[in-house]
Amino acid sequence: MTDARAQSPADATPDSDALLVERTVAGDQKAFELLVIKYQRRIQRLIGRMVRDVDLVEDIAQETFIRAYRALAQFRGEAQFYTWLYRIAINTAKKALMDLKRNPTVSENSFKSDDEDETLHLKNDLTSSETPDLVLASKEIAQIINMALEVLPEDLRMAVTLREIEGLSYEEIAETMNCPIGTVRSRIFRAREAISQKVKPLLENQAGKRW
Amino acid sequence: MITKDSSGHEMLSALFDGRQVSDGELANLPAAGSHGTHSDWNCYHVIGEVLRGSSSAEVVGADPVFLQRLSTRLNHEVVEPLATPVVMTGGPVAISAVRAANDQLFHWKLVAGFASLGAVAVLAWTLTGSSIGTSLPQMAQDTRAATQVTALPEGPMIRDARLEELLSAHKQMGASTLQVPSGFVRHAGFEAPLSSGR
Repeated sequence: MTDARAQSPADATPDSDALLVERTVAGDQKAFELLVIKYQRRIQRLIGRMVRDVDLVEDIAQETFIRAYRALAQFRGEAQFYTWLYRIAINTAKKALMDLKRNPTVSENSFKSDDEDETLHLKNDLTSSETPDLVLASKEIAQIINMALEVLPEDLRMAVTLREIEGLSYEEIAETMNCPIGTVRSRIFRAREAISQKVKPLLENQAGKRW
Repeated sequence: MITKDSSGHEMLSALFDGRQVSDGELANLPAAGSHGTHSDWNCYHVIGEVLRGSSSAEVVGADPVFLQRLSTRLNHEVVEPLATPVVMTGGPVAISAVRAANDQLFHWKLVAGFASLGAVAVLAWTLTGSSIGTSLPQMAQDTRAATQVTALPEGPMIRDARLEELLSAHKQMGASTLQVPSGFVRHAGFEAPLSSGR
Protein backbone atom coordinates (compact mmCIF):
# COMPACT_ATOMS: atom_id res chain seq x y z
CA MET A 1 0.00 0.00 0.00
CA THR A 2 1.41 3.32 -0.97
CA ASP A 3 0.33 6.85 -0.40
CA ALA A 4 0.81 9.26 -3.24
CA ARG A 5 0.80 12.16 -0.84
CA ALA A 6 3.90 10.86 0.87
CA GLN A 7 6.01 12.46 -1.84
CA SER A 8 4.70 15.94 -2.28
CA PRO A 9 6.86 18.61 -3.88
CA ALA A 10 7.47 20.18 -0.52
CA ASP A 11 8.91 16.90 0.70
CA ALA A 12 11.71 17.16 -1.84
CA THR A 13 13.34 19.95 0.10
CA PRO A 14 14.50 19.87 3.68
CA ASP A 15 11.35 20.01 5.72
CA SER A 16 10.63 20.95 9.25
CA ASP A 17 9.98 17.40 10.38
CA ALA A 18 13.59 16.62 11.17
CA LEU A 19 13.93 19.71 13.29
CA LEU A 20 10.70 19.02 15.10
CA VAL A 21 11.61 15.40 15.73
CA GLU A 22 14.95 16.51 17.09
CA ARG A 23 13.32 18.95 19.46
CA THR A 24 10.71 16.42 20.53
CA VAL A 25 13.38 13.90 21.44
CA ALA A 26 15.12 16.65 23.35
CA GLY A 27 11.98 16.93 25.45
CA ASP A 28 9.94 19.59 23.67
CA GLN A 29 6.43 18.17 23.56
CA LYS A 30 5.14 21.24 21.76
CA ALA A 31 7.30 20.40 18.79
CA PHE A 32 5.52 17.07 18.53
CA GLU A 33 2.19 18.86 18.59
CA LEU A 34 3.24 20.77 15.48
CA LEU A 35 3.89 17.43 13.80
CA VAL A 36 0.46 16.25 14.87
CA ILE A 37 -1.16 19.35 13.38
CA LYS A 38 0.66 18.72 10.15
CA TYR A 39 -0.23 15.05 9.79
CA GLN A 40 -3.43 14.47 11.74
CA ARG A 41 -5.78 14.72 8.78
CA ARG A 42 -3.56 12.70 6.51
CA ILE A 43 -3.26 9.91 9.08
CA GLN A 44 -6.99 9.93 9.75
CA ARG A 45 -7.64 9.73 6.03
CA LEU A 46 -5.27 6.78 5.76
CA ILE A 47 -6.94 4.95 8.65
CA GLY A 48 -10.35 5.86 7.27
CA ARG A 49 -9.57 3.70 4.26
CA MET A 50 -9.33 0.68 6.53
CA VAL A 51 -11.85 1.40 9.27
CA ARG A 52 -15.44 2.47 8.79
CA ASP A 53 -16.30 3.70 12.28
CA VAL A 54 -15.49 7.43 12.52
CA ASP A 55 -14.92 7.29 16.27
CA LEU A 56 -12.65 4.33 15.87
CA VAL A 57 -10.69 6.15 13.20
CA GLU A 58 -9.96 8.93 15.63
CA ASP A 59 -9.05 6.50 18.39
CA ILE A 60 -6.62 4.70 16.13
CA ALA A 61 -5.16 8.01 15.02
CA GLN A 62 -4.66 8.98 18.66
CA GLU A 63 -3.00 5.66 19.36
CA THR A 64 -0.81 6.10 16.29
CA PHE A 65 0.57 9.41 17.50
CA ILE A 66 1.03 8.10 21.03
CA ARG A 67 3.02 5.15 19.71
CA ALA A 68 5.05 7.44 17.50
CA TYR A 69 5.79 9.69 20.44
CA ARG A 70 6.95 6.76 22.54
CA ALA A 71 9.15 5.39 19.78
CA LEU A 72 10.49 8.67 18.52
CA ALA A 73 13.89 8.08 20.12
CA GLN A 74 14.33 5.08 17.83
CA PHE A 75 13.56 7.12 14.72
CA ARG A 76 16.87 7.31 12.85
CA GLY A 77 15.83 9.76 10.20
CA GLU A 78 16.71 7.30 7.45
CA ALA A 79 13.22 7.72 6.02
CA GLN A 80 10.85 10.63 5.93
CA PHE A 81 9.02 11.14 9.19
CA TYR A 82 5.67 10.68 7.49
CA THR A 83 6.77 7.38 5.97
CA TRP A 84 7.70 6.19 9.43
CA LEU A 85 4.42 7.50 10.87
CA TYR A 86 2.51 5.89 8.01
CA ARG A 87 3.84 2.46 8.94
CA ILE A 88 2.89 2.97 12.57
CA ALA A 89 -0.61 3.98 11.54
CA ILE A 90 -1.03 0.92 9.32
CA ASN A 91 0.19 -1.42 12.05
CA THR A 92 -1.97 0.23 14.67
CA ALA A 93 -5.03 -0.02 12.44
CA LYS A 94 -4.34 -3.68 11.66
CA LYS A 95 -3.96 -4.46 15.34
CA ALA A 96 -7.21 -2.66 16.11
CA LEU A 97 -8.99 -4.63 13.41
CA MET A 98 -7.64 -7.91 14.75
CA ASP A 99 -8.81 -6.97 18.23
CA LEU A 100 -12.23 -6.20 16.83
CA LYS A 101 -12.47 -9.56 15.11
CA ARG A 102 -11.60 -11.31 18.36
CA ASN A 103 -14.24 -9.33 20.23
CA PRO A 104 -17.73 -10.63 19.32
CA THR A 105 -19.51 -7.72 20.97
CA VAL A 106 -18.23 -5.29 18.39
CA SER A 107 -20.27 -4.72 15.28
CA GLU A 108 -18.94 -5.93 11.98
CA ASN A 109 -19.72 -2.50 10.59
CA SER A 110 -16.75 -1.09 12.47
CA PHE A 111 -14.26 -2.35 9.95
CA LYS A 112 -14.12 -3.00 6.29
CA SER A 113 -13.74 -6.49 4.97
CA ASP A 114 -10.37 -7.75 3.86
CA ASP A 115 -11.54 -8.38 0.33
CA GLU A 116 -12.54 -4.76 -0.04
CA ASP A 117 -9.86 -3.41 -2.31
CA GLU A 118 -8.46 -0.23 -0.90
CA THR A 119 -7.16 0.78 -4.27
CA LEU A 120 -10.73 1.28 -5.39
CA HIS A 121 -10.83 4.40 -3.27
CA LEU A 122 -9.89 7.19 -5.53
CA LYS A 123 -8.11 10.17 -4.17
CA ASN A 124 -11.21 12.32 -3.98
CA ASP A 125 -13.49 9.63 -2.66
CA LEU A 126 -15.02 10.16 0.72
CA THR A 127 -13.51 8.14 3.50
CA SER A 128 -15.08 7.61 6.88
CA SER A 129 -13.24 10.66 8.22
CA GLU A 130 -14.65 12.94 5.53
CA THR A 131 -18.16 14.05 6.22
CA PRO A 132 -20.19 16.13 3.76
CA ASP A 133 -19.79 19.13 6.06
CA LEU A 134 -16.06 18.67 5.94
CA VAL A 135 -16.06 18.54 2.18
CA LEU A 136 -18.16 21.67 1.97
CA ALA A 137 -15.91 23.51 4.40
CA SER A 138 -12.83 22.44 2.52
CA LYS A 139 -14.20 23.79 -0.73
CA GLU A 140 -14.94 27.10 0.88
CA ILE A 141 -11.48 27.26 2.42
CA ALA A 142 -9.81 26.41 -0.85
CA GLN A 143 -11.79 29.10 -2.62
CA ILE A 144 -10.80 31.76 -0.12
CA ILE A 145 -7.14 30.78 -0.24
CA ASN A 146 -7.04 30.84 -4.01
CA MET A 147 -8.75 34.23 -4.07
CA ALA A 148 -6.32 35.58 -1.49
CA LEU A 149 -3.43 34.30 -3.57
CA GLU A 150 -4.72 36.07 -6.65
CA VAL A 151 -4.74 39.49 -5.01
CA LEU A 152 -1.24 39.15 -3.56
CA PRO A 153 1.52 41.38 -4.96
CA GLU A 154 3.41 39.66 -7.72
CA ASP A 155 6.63 39.08 -5.77
CA LEU A 156 4.81 37.53 -2.81
CA ARG A 157 2.63 35.34 -5.01
CA MET A 158 5.60 34.12 -6.97
CA ALA A 159 7.62 33.35 -3.85
CA VAL A 160 4.90 31.32 -2.15
CA THR A 161 3.98 29.58 -5.38
CA LEU A 162 7.54 28.52 -6.07
CA ARG A 163 7.80 27.22 -2.55
CA GLU A 164 4.47 25.46 -2.09
CA ILE A 165 3.63 24.29 -5.60
CA GLU A 166 7.03 23.85 -7.20
CA GLY A 167 8.68 22.76 -3.98
CA LEU A 168 11.79 24.84 -4.53
CA SER A 169 14.17 25.55 -1.71
CA TYR A 170 14.85 29.07 -0.48
CA GLU A 171 18.16 29.03 -2.33
CA GLU A 172 16.52 28.06 -5.59
CA ILE A 173 13.82 30.67 -5.18
CA ALA A 174 16.44 33.32 -4.43
CA GLU A 175 18.24 32.39 -7.63
CA THR A 176 15.03 32.37 -9.63
CA MET A 177 13.84 35.70 -8.28
CA ASN A 178 17.31 37.18 -8.19
CA CYS A 179 17.11 38.31 -4.60
CA PRO A 180 18.73 37.41 -1.26
CA ILE A 181 17.54 34.40 0.72
CA GLY A 182 16.42 36.68 3.52
CA THR A 183 14.10 38.43 1.11
CA VAL A 184 12.70 35.09 0.02
CA ARG A 185 12.03 34.15 3.60
CA SER A 186 10.32 37.46 4.21
CA ARG A 187 8.21 37.29 1.06
CA ILE A 188 7.00 33.78 1.75
CA PHE A 189 6.10 34.73 5.28
CA ARG A 190 4.23 37.86 4.18
CA ALA A 191 2.33 35.89 1.59
CA ARG A 192 1.31 33.31 4.14
CA GLU A 193 0.29 35.93 6.64
CA ALA A 194 -1.83 37.75 4.08
CA ILE A 195 -3.63 34.55 3.12
CA SER A 196 -3.91 33.47 6.76
CA GLN A 197 -5.76 36.64 7.68
CA LYS A 198 -8.44 35.72 5.18
CA VAL A 199 -8.77 32.05 5.98
CA LYS A 200 -7.99 31.86 9.66
CA PRO A 201 -11.47 32.88 10.87
CA LEU A 202 -12.94 30.11 8.79
CA LEU A 203 -10.50 27.54 10.12
CA GLU A 204 -10.85 28.57 13.73
CA ASN A 205 -14.60 28.59 13.71
CA GLN A 206 -14.84 25.34 11.86
CA ALA A 207 -17.49 23.20 13.53
CA GLY A 208 -17.43 25.49 16.52
CA LYS A 209 -13.93 24.39 17.49
CA ARG A 210 -11.27 26.93 18.34
CA TRP A 211 -7.55 26.58 18.76
CA MET B 1 -1.98 44.59 6.13
CA ILE B 2 0.24 42.81 8.62
CA THR B 3 0.28 44.69 11.87
CA LYS B 4 1.60 42.23 14.45
CA ASP B 5 5.19 41.72 15.38
CA SER B 6 6.42 39.46 12.63
CA SER B 7 9.86 38.30 13.77
CA GLY B 8 8.63 35.26 15.68
CA HIS B 9 6.05 34.38 13.07
CA GLU B 10 8.53 34.75 10.24
CA MET B 11 10.73 32.31 12.10
CA LEU B 12 7.76 29.95 12.38
CA SER B 13 7.20 30.25 8.64
CA ALA B 14 10.85 29.47 7.98
CA LEU B 15 10.70 26.53 10.38
CA PHE B 16 7.67 25.28 8.50
CA ASP B 17 9.81 25.18 5.38
CA GLY B 18 12.51 23.24 7.17
CA ARG B 19 14.92 26.11 7.48
CA GLN B 20 17.49 25.76 10.21
CA VAL B 21 16.71 28.16 12.97
CA SER B 22 19.04 28.85 15.83
CA ASP B 23 18.17 28.18 19.43
CA GLY B 24 18.10 31.91 19.94
CA GLU B 25 15.48 32.31 17.26
CA LEU B 26 13.43 29.52 18.76
CA ALA B 27 13.64 31.19 22.12
CA ASN B 28 12.26 34.33 20.50
CA LEU B 29 9.12 32.49 19.53
CA PRO B 30 6.86 33.92 22.21
CA ALA B 31 3.87 31.80 21.53
CA ALA B 32 5.70 28.49 21.12
CA GLY B 33 3.19 25.77 21.79
CA SER B 34 0.43 28.23 22.39
CA HIS B 35 -2.81 28.28 20.51
CA GLY B 36 -1.53 31.17 18.41
CA THR B 37 1.39 29.14 17.19
CA HIS B 38 -0.80 26.13 16.58
CA SER B 39 -3.26 28.25 14.67
CA ASP B 40 -0.57 29.86 12.51
CA TRP B 41 1.11 26.53 11.90
CA ASN B 42 -2.20 24.97 10.93
CA CYS B 43 -2.89 27.89 8.58
CA TYR B 44 0.47 27.53 6.85
CA HIS B 45 -0.17 23.83 6.44
CA VAL B 46 -3.65 24.33 5.00
CA ILE B 47 -2.40 26.99 2.57
CA GLY B 48 0.25 24.61 1.30
CA GLU B 49 -2.21 21.77 0.95
CA VAL B 50 -4.69 23.91 -0.97
CA LEU B 51 -2.04 25.26 -3.33
CA ARG B 52 -0.84 21.74 -4.01
CA GLY B 53 -4.41 20.64 -4.68
CA SER B 54 -4.67 18.22 -1.80
CA SER B 55 -7.75 16.35 -0.76
CA SER B 56 -10.54 17.96 1.16
CA ALA B 57 -9.69 16.30 4.47
CA GLU B 58 -6.30 17.93 4.65
CA VAL B 59 -7.56 21.28 3.43
CA VAL B 60 -9.62 21.86 6.53
CA GLY B 61 -6.57 21.52 8.73
CA ALA B 62 -6.10 19.75 12.00
CA ASP B 63 -8.79 19.26 14.58
CA PRO B 64 -8.13 21.29 17.76
CA VAL B 65 -10.12 18.86 19.88
CA PHE B 66 -8.05 15.97 18.59
CA LEU B 67 -4.88 17.81 19.52
CA GLN B 68 -6.15 18.74 22.97
CA ARG B 69 -7.09 15.16 23.66
CA LEU B 70 -3.74 13.96 22.45
CA SER B 71 -1.85 16.59 24.44
CA THR B 72 -3.55 15.41 27.60
CA ARG B 73 -2.33 11.90 26.94
CA LEU B 74 1.13 13.07 25.96
CA ASN B 75 1.52 14.82 29.30
CA HIS B 76 1.65 11.41 30.92
CA GLU B 77 4.15 10.03 28.44
CA VAL B 78 7.89 10.09 28.81
CA VAL B 79 10.10 10.08 25.76
CA GLU B 80 12.95 7.59 26.08
CA PRO B 81 16.35 9.20 26.35
CA LEU B 82 18.19 9.28 23.09
CA ALA B 83 20.69 6.42 23.00
CA THR B 84 22.35 7.51 19.79
CA PRO B 85 22.08 10.78 17.95
CA VAL B 86 19.26 11.01 15.46
CA VAL B 87 20.58 11.21 11.94
CA MET B 88 19.20 14.39 10.56
CA THR B 89 19.67 16.32 7.41
CA GLY B 90 20.56 19.77 8.48
CA GLY B 91 23.14 22.44 8.67
CA PRO B 92 26.55 22.26 10.21
CA VAL B 93 26.69 21.22 13.78
CA ALA B 94 28.78 23.33 16.09
CA ILE B 95 31.28 21.08 17.82
CA SER B 96 32.58 22.54 21.01
CA ALA B 97 36.09 21.68 22.10
CA VAL B 98 35.94 19.34 25.04
CA ARG B 99 38.61 19.81 27.70
CA ALA B 100 39.94 16.90 29.63
CA ALA B 101 39.55 16.94 33.36
CA ASN B 102 43.32 17.00 33.93
CA ASP B 103 44.15 19.59 31.32
CA GLN B 104 45.41 21.95 34.01
CA LEU B 105 47.71 19.32 35.58
CA PHE B 106 50.52 19.41 33.06
CA HIS B 107 53.14 17.77 35.28
CA TRP B 108 51.08 14.61 35.49
CA LYS B 109 51.34 14.22 31.76
CA LEU B 110 55.11 14.70 31.98
CA VAL B 111 55.51 12.16 34.77
CA ALA B 112 53.35 9.69 32.93
CA GLY B 113 55.43 10.16 29.80
CA PHE B 114 58.75 9.59 31.54
CA ALA B 115 57.40 6.58 33.39
CA SER B 116 56.24 5.04 30.16
CA LEU B 117 59.57 5.74 28.48
CA GLY B 118 61.46 4.19 31.39
CA ALA B 119 59.30 1.13 31.41
CA VAL B 120 59.83 0.62 27.70
CA ALA B 121 63.60 1.06 28.06
CA VAL B 122 63.86 -1.44 30.92
CA LEU B 123 61.78 -3.93 29.05
CA ALA B 124 63.86 -3.56 25.91
CA TRP B 125 67.13 -3.86 27.86
CA THR B 126 65.93 -6.96 29.63
CA LEU B 127 64.85 -8.67 26.48
CA THR B 128 68.01 -7.75 24.53
CA GLY B 129 70.46 -8.71 27.29
CA SER B 130 68.95 -12.07 27.99
CA SER B 131 68.78 -13.07 24.37
CA ILE B 132 72.46 -12.38 23.41
CA GLY B 133 73.98 -15.50 25.03
CA THR B 134 71.39 -17.89 23.81
CA SER B 135 70.25 -16.77 20.46
CA LEU B 136 73.57 -16.01 18.74
CA PRO B 137 75.28 -18.81 16.78
CA GLN B 138 78.12 -20.68 18.41
CA MET B 139 81.47 -18.99 17.61
CA ALA B 140 84.93 -20.58 17.33
CA GLN B 141 86.54 -21.11 20.68
CA ASP B 142 89.65 -19.24 21.65
CA THR B 143 92.49 -21.76 21.75
CA ARG B 144 95.20 -19.37 22.70
CA ALA B 145 95.48 -20.87 26.16
CA ALA B 146 96.51 -24.22 24.65
CA THR B 147 99.41 -22.79 22.65
CA GLN B 148 102.91 -22.23 23.87
CA VAL B 149 105.71 -20.11 22.48
CA THR B 150 109.00 -21.86 22.66
CA ALA B 151 112.26 -19.99 22.12
CA LEU B 152 114.51 -21.82 19.71
CA PRO B 153 117.85 -20.77 18.20
CA GLU B 154 116.05 -20.26 14.89
CA GLY B 155 113.52 -17.96 16.55
CA PRO B 156 110.34 -18.26 18.53
CA MET B 157 108.14 -21.24 17.70
CA ILE B 158 104.49 -21.52 18.47
CA ARG B 159 103.66 -24.97 19.63
CA ASP B 160 100.15 -26.19 19.89
CA ALA B 161 99.61 -28.89 22.42
CA ARG B 162 96.90 -30.56 20.43
CA LEU B 163 98.92 -30.38 17.29
CA GLU B 164 101.91 -31.84 19.07
CA GLU B 165 99.78 -34.63 20.32
CA LEU B 166 98.44 -35.27 16.86
CA LEU B 167 101.90 -35.29 15.29
CA SER B 168 103.32 -37.62 17.87
CA ALA B 169 100.49 -40.05 17.24
CA HIS B 170 101.08 -40.07 13.52
CA LYS B 171 104.85 -39.44 13.43
CA GLN B 172 105.98 -42.83 12.23
CA MET B 173 103.48 -43.03 9.41
CA GLY B 174 104.26 -39.55 8.23
CA ALA B 175 107.99 -40.07 8.23
CA SER B 176 107.77 -43.28 6.28
CA THR B 177 105.74 -41.84 3.52
CA LEU B 178 107.06 -38.33 3.13
CA GLN B 179 110.60 -38.10 4.39
CA VAL B 180 112.04 -41.07 2.39
CA PRO B 181 111.89 -40.24 -1.32
CA SER B 182 110.87 -42.95 -3.66
CA GLY B 183 113.58 -44.07 -6.05
CA PHE B 184 111.14 -44.39 -8.88
CA VAL B 185 109.92 -40.87 -8.60
CA ARG B 186 113.41 -39.45 -8.23
CA HIS B 187 114.62 -41.12 -11.41
CA ALA B 188 111.56 -40.98 -13.51
CA GLY B 189 111.79 -38.98 -16.74
CA PHE B 190 110.01 -38.54 -19.97
CA GLU B 191 111.72 -39.78 -23.05
CA ALA B 192 109.85 -39.50 -26.23
CA PRO B 193 110.54 -42.06 -28.97
CA LEU B 194 113.01 -40.73 -31.51
CA SER B 195 111.02 -41.78 -34.53
CA SER B 196 107.56 -40.49 -33.48
CA GLY B 197 108.05 -36.74 -34.05
CA ARG B 198 110.37 -36.70 -37.02
